[in-house]
Amino acid sequence: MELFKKTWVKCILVLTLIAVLSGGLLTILNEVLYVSAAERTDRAIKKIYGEVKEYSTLLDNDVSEKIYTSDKGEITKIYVVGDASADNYDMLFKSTGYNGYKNGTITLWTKVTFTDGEGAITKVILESFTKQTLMSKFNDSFYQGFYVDVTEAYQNGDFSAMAEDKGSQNYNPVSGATYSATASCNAINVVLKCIAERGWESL
Amino acid sequence: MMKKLKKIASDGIITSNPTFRLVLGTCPTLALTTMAMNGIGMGLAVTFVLICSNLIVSLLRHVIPKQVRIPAYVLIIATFVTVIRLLLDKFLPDIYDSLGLFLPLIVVNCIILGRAESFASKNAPLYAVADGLFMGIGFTLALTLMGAFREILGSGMIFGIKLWDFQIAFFSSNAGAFFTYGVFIALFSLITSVVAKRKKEKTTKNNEVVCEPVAEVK
Repeated sequence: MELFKKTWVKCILVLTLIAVLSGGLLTILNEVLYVSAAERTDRAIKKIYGEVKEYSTLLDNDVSEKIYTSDKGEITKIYVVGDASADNYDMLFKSTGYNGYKNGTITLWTKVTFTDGEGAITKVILESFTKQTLMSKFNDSFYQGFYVDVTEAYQNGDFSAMAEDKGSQNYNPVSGATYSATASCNAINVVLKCIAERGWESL
Repeated sequence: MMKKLKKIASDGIITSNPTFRLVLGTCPTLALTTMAMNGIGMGLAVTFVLICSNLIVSLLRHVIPKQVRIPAYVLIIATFVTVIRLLLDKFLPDIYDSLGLFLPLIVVNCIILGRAESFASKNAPLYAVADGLFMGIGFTLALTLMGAFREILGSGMIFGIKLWDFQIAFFSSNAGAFFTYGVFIALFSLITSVVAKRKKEKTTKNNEVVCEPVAEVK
């Protein structure tokens, strides 16, 4: 019992007790509040359409571990909303753009609407990011800068937020957050590249 | 008890406002006040952590040895920050996304550790909770005011609703954040000093009135 009266023993005991109780509480909460990949996808679809819609999977890294990569970024999921054999349907791309602030990344959902053989980006929303600190600067008008015809956009070159590309038709910057804007542009560029390389019909 | 609670309330919101008077928690204040909604989100998250950590620190104030009080407080604060992260991710994903990196950084927010060390560790749980609540309200109000000011001038919107096309991009920039913060600190100091001066004048006047009959009697 004398041992428990010593200060160093008390310090270790109290800190260990707090750590164990905190760990226990967080373990339980993590189980209860866990957000699954399917729930995140439903959220993204709800954000895009305003309601949860049914979709079919073309590419899913959680299922097949296959991803589409380029030097600009990677595509981890492709879903089809609507009937792909019909004239009108949407494709949803979850893509991650590289080269953000501190070499971080930005992940976006891009909705490409195909109507009578023509594809156009009709919605872009933010999914997540790593190491970026100025994401609050990104508003709808920035993402609306990506709403273009996919073929035309690819022919015009990559989207860029860098000052040296100011003359480019696909110049889409955010003042004060150039690197984060670059990663967002790259997330779109990889989608455009994927569609151009593979052809949207064979995706 | 009511008098002490009143003092805690006025300290948290006005006299010792963490943002405008104590100048604590400046990182989220400068980075997140581009929009009023971000200010509310961050403010409420900090309020939750302040209340919970103050309560636990106060309850354990006789148990935690003073040699390890800081690591113990950080452990408690980090737990509640993780709890609020999990809650926001589950139930308010939009706010979770907009707060981004600054949500986990609440762990190192000076306001929370400062209140745990200077108030909660020396007071009863009820007062510690009240202190957390009113400090949190003071922080939330400050961030929301700055966010609204910058959102209106910087993007012509308020709470995401477009007001007009007129915009001054400077207020959305980092320099604009520092400028706005400076203006608000100056205004807050001016208002509080004017109020304090008037209060002092009123008290002096009352004292004079009380003193007169005493002089007559003499």
